Amino acid sequence: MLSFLRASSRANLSPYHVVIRTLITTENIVESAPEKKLYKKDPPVSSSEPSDSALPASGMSTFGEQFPHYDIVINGGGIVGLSFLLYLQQSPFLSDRKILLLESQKDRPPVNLGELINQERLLSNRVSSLTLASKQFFNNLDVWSNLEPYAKPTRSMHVWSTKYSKGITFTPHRISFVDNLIKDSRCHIPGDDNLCYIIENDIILAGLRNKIRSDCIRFDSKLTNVDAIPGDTTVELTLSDESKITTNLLIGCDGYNSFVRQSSDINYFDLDLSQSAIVGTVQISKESDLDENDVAFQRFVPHNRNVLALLPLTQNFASFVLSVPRNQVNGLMELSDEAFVNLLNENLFLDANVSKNQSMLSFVTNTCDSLLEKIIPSDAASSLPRINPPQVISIEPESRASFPLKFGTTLPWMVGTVKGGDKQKCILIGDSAHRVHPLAGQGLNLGLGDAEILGQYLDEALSNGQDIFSDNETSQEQLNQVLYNVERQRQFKLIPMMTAIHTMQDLFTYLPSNVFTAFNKLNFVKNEIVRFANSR
Amino acid sequence: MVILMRFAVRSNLLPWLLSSHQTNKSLTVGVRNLSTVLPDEVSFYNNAGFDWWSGISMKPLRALNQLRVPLIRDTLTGGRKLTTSKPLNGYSCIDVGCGGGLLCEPLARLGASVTGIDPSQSSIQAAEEHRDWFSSSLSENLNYKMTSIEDFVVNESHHNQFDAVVASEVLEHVQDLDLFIKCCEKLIKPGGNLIVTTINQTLAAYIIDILIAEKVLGLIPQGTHQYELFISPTSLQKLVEHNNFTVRSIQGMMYNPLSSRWSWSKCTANNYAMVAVKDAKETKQNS
Repeated sequence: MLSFLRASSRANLSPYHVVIRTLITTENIVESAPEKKLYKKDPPVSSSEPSDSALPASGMSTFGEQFPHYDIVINGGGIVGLSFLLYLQQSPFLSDRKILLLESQKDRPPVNLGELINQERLLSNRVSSLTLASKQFFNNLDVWSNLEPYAKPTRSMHVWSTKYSKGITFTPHRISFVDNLIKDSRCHIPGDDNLCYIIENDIILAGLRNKIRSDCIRFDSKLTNVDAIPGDTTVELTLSDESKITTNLLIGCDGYNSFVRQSSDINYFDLDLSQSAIVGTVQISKESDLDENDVAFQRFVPHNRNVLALLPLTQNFASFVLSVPRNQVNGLMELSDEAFVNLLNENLFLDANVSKNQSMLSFVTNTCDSLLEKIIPSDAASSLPRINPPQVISIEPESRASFPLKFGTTLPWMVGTVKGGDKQKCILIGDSAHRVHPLAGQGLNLGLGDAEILGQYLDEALSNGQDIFSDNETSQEQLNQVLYNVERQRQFKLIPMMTAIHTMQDLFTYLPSNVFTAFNKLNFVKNEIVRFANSR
Repeated sequence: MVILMRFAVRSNLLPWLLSSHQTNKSLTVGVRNLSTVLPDEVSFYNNAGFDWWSGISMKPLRALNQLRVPLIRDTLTGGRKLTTSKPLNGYSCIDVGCGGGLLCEPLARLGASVTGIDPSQSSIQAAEEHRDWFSSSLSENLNYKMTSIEDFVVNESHHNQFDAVVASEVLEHVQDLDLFIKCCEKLIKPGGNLIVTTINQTLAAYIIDILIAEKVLGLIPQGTHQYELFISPTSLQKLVEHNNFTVRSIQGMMYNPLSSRWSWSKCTANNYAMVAVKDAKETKQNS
């Protein structure tokens, strides 16, 4: 029934149609019951030759040549794809299955993390923050111990807009009574002294590669065509070297330009944010010798709508992400290093009242702000992690890079059929299903969450003795049930998180700054936000 | 229906609604039918032509595997961490009243050697056909036999052979429960498990399983269940403990028809599962 509702809402039918058609189908079920009896009585006649009658059902095998068959094909060997593969390899039930990961790049011997540890190295400008749930995931995959020397623990995060002192400081999650309410172990994350961990993407990739048995990875091969025939229980894939394979389940973790998504019927909604991000590595000033540089800073700069995030990388270095309107990005990229450092410091320190843009909105905001200031007692020496934001001293040469920011999602759907087929055969995880603004540092974590939940559900189905990778209707139905459960589980996380990320910028820019001072005191609410961000 | 419910709420009948009614049907000593099987039931299953593996009427039963397979798996392995894809390798199970083999196949897929018995010929036929057509790899460790449990027990080579006897959703179709449990006891190895899932004898069960499911919505063919044959957990516990078992756990099960998912619950008013261990001591004394 649910899957029918799903199908009809995909076809953009109105709710009334859905109701009417649902009623009709229920009638059909009742009416068609006697026919099914007849059908069920048929087989004894043909049971003398079961193999012959079974063959036409398996579809592809009747015509053409047999291609190598895989139970699961993963397209894309990024962090999400590799960690999903590693999860599969470590599950006793899934490691027996035939699994293949397609990676378009050539095989490079992975960096040996153990050797790297005491070397001077150039910090990479592509970094990610890992939430506690992601850390737990890597811990379960037995990768975390290799990553830990490179991961910079972040103790707190300070977010502000107009005035530094009127910001919100997020601190690590404390166990609250809500944790007792949530008994589901899938959501439960043990307490940790840190808010998140900042780590370079290359290090994560190397850590994963060191653990993965690479016999299930096919390097230097791209998916060029995905094909399915109605009624068929497998999907036929053509690779860049013209070879063909078939699979029962195609998993797309091939990034925001996902080929799997383009060759499926899943609708993609995308929006150009007309912003660009500039990333790079900078050296920042320490407040004292005791300063461990373990605070992440984020400012929604009010006068130019920039967003600047400083993520600690080592004792002295931090990675920055500056998102600016698209038309300014070329100019900023051409700036000299000194001028760029000045610009960063301006974005960190400059107060809003320097540049007065007298729009109606800012007038309202300022009036509210001054009113609120009279109501809320101000105590500047509250829980600020530092007295002042850190000052950028210098930028690492050649570390600046820029990329356009876009928003895109296939939600609420992640599961779909391949174009031409009629069976739900592919699922999108990671950036291929949801591309978000980097300001909250959640993109990778959401993708890892997808990978973990999908792996868990597949593992659970197999550990219950379900037959989800066979060429028949029952097993197809069971596989679909598993995929729908994954999709539903992820919707509860992805939709609120993506909504939060994309309203945050407007909230911080337009809300009066004293609202944040007040909010900063609501420890319970802050705690729940941190818990939500850190959970799966 | 609504009037009935309102009446039940108004007159504080809810506790009564959810509590068990003792009919003492099979606990009466002396009255002994020689069969666990009702002839009507067998002809019902022979003629109903259930579409065991697809179709909507068996969907709740297929979904029940989400609970009963892990229950049986973890009971047999003692809850240890699973390290292979065939964790039940080396264990032998018998599914009494296997129907279309909905539970036998997953257990066999997990490595157990499974015997499914059922007195209905068309059910056994459906089960064998499904195994041969769709899961041919299981033919080594999955066998079906058309027999009733008392006929199966007559063969002494079957005694003390099985690590687990599974009677899932069959007790509500059994006529002589005492004989049924005695037969199960003979089949199980000392220290082995009897795993039962069945329907409680409460008004709630009557309303959900007979009134709503059979008569109003017609999800299940009429006549599948008979209220007199349901059994409450307390009487079942008495019966089982009388027959040389120790009850380990009784847990309620809840079905959500919208998501078609089962979950464990504390409420045993409708469906429940019971795990009982055959005591090793007394069998030693007997032998």
